[in-house]
Amino acid sequence: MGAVFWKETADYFGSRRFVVLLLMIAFAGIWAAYTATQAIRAEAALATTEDVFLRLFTTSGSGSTLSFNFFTSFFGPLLGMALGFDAINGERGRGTLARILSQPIYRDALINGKFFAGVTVLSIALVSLMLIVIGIGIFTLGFGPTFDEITRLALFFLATLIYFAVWLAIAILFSLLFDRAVVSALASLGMWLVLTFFIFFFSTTIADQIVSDQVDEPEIAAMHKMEWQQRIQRISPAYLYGEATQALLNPKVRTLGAGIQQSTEVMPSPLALGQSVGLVWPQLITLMAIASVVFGIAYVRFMKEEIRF
Amino acid sequence: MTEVIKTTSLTKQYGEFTAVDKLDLSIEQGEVFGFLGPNGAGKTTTILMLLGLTSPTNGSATIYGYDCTRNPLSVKRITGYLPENVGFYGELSAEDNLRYTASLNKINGEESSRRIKQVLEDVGLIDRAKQPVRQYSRGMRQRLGIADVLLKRPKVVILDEPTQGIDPASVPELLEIIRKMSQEHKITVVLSSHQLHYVQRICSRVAIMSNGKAVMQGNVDELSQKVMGGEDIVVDLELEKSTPEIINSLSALSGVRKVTSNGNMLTVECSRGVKKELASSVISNAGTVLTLRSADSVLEEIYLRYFSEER
Repeated sequence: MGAVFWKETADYFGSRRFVVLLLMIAFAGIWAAYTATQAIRAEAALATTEDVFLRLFTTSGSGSTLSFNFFTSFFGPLLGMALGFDAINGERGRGTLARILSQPIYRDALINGKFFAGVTVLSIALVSLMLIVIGIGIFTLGFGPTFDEITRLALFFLATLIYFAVWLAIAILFSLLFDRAVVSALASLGMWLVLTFFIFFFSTTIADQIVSDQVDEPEIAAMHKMEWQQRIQRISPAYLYGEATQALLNPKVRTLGAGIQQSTEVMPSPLALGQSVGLVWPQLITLMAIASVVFGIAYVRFMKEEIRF
Repeated sequence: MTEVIKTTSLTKQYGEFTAVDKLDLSIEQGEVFGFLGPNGAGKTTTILMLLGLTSPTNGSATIYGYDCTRNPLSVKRITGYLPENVGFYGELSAEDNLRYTASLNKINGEESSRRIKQVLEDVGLIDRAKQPVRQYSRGMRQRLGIADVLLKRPKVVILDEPTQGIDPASVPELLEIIRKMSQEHKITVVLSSHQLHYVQRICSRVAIMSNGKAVMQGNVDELSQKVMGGEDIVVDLELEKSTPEIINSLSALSGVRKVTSNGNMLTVECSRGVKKELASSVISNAGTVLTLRSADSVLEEIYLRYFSEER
C-alpha cells in the first residue's frame, strides 16, 4: 500500500483542483479568524480572555455568520469530494486501472492507499490552517492558548478530520458506482446538498406527519416534533458535526438536543473538558461509524468488482 | 520444452452468458502464442482470469505452476500485462510513470533508475523520457506500455490487442520489439489480436477463439491444412505485357491448376508450393512482373473461411 499512498499523496498536493479549493478555503478561513479577532477586541461583551482561542474559530466578524467553523462545516466536504470523486473511475477512464492492478499488489492496496492519502492530505491542510489562525490569535492578542484550549482544538481537529473523511469516503464510493467522473461529482454534490441543507426541510415535514395526529397539548406536541426533527437530522453528518464542534469549541454548551430543557441558570457555568467530550462522544462515534461504513461498502464493492474495460 | 501457461476447462459465466467455455490451453516456454477471434469471443476474459483479475466460474489456470486465482500475486510478479487501450498518468513524465510501476513491484532507488533507463532504450523512448505522457502519440504510448511491462523483468508477457489503433507504419516497429523481447529475454508471449496478418508474422502458434471456445489450436501451417485441406491459393499477376507463351509456360508448371487472363492481369490458381516459381517463369519468357499479389495472409483466410462456415 505504501507505494500507492505516497504517489496519491503527491498527486493530491499537486492537483490543481485541490490547490484552488484549498486556497479559497484558506483565504476564507483566515479572513474569518481575522475578523473574529477584530470583533473580540471591539465588543465589550466579547472582550474577555476566557476561551478566546476557541472563539477565534466560532466568532464571526461584524454582522455576518461566517466563522472559521462555518467554513469547515460547509466547504470542507467540497475538499473531500474534490479528492475522491474520480478516485476509481478516473483510473478506469485513463486506462491505468488495469495496468496498476496487474502489478503484484493486493487489490485493496489501491483503494486503501487512495483513501488514506486523502485523509493525510486533508489533515495536513487542516492543521496548517488551524495553526495559521492560532498564530493570528497569538499575534493580535499577545498571549498563547491554554492547555485546555489546545486540547479542545485538537479534538475539534479530530472531529473535523472525521467529517472530511466521511465526504471523501462518499466521493470514493460514488467514483466506484458511476463510470463517469462528471456523474460521480454531481452525485456527491447532490448528496451534500441533501444532507446539509434539504434535510432540515425534510425533517420538518416528516416530523409534522409523525406528530400531528397526537392530541397532546400544543407545547408537548411541539416538543415531540422538535425531537423527531432532531432524530432525522442526525442522519446528516453535517448536523452531527455541527453539534460536536459546537460543544467542543464552546464550553458553555451544556446540552445537545431539543432546546426545551432550558437551563435555569442565567449564566450557565462552563463545562469541563471531560464533560464536553462526554457530551459529543455519540456524535463523534457516529461520524466515525458513517465514514467506516461508507468506506467499507466502497471497499467490498471494489474487491468484488469485475475489472472490465 | 516446459509448459508455462496451462488452463484446464477454464470457464467463466456471467449469469446465463458463457464468456469462456471449458478452455484448455497449453503454452510452452519461449513461444509467441497468438490468441485470435472476433470481439466478444472471450479473449480478454481469459486474459483477465490468467492474471487473477477475474475469477473463473469453473476450471483452473496456472502460470509457472502458480494458481492464477488463489495465488495472483505470485503470478503477477512474473507476468507482465499490457491491457487494451493502456493508459498512463498524463501529467507525469514517462520516467515517473515507470517509477511508480517500479515501486509497485518493490523496485526502488538505483535499481529502479537503471531498469527504467534500460527499458526506455529497449523501446526507443529514452530521448523523450522526461516528457509528460500527455504529449505522447498513440504508438509511443503503446511502446511505453511495453517498457512498463518489461520493467519487472517478466517471464511471461500478455499483450491484449497490442497493435490496435496504431498507424500501419508503426506496427512493424512494435512487432519487432515484441519479437526481440521473446527471443532475447526468452520471454513467453501471449498476444491477442484480430489483425491477423501481423500476428502471423511473429506467432509460432495460435488459438482461434469463438464463443468462448478455442475452436482451433496449432501452428499456422497446421491450421491451414485443417481448414483448407491443402487447397489451392489464388495469385494475381500483373504483367507489363501478357503473351501466350507466358500463359502456356505458367500453365505447364506442375501445381498450377488454372490460368485465366484479363488483359495484362493473370489469375493463377495453384498449389501453395509453386508460388515462388511463377515470377521466374514469367521472367524466363522475357516478361516483366509489375505486381504479384496472393492472398498471402494465410491466417486471415483461415479465419474468414472458418467463420463463414460457422455462419
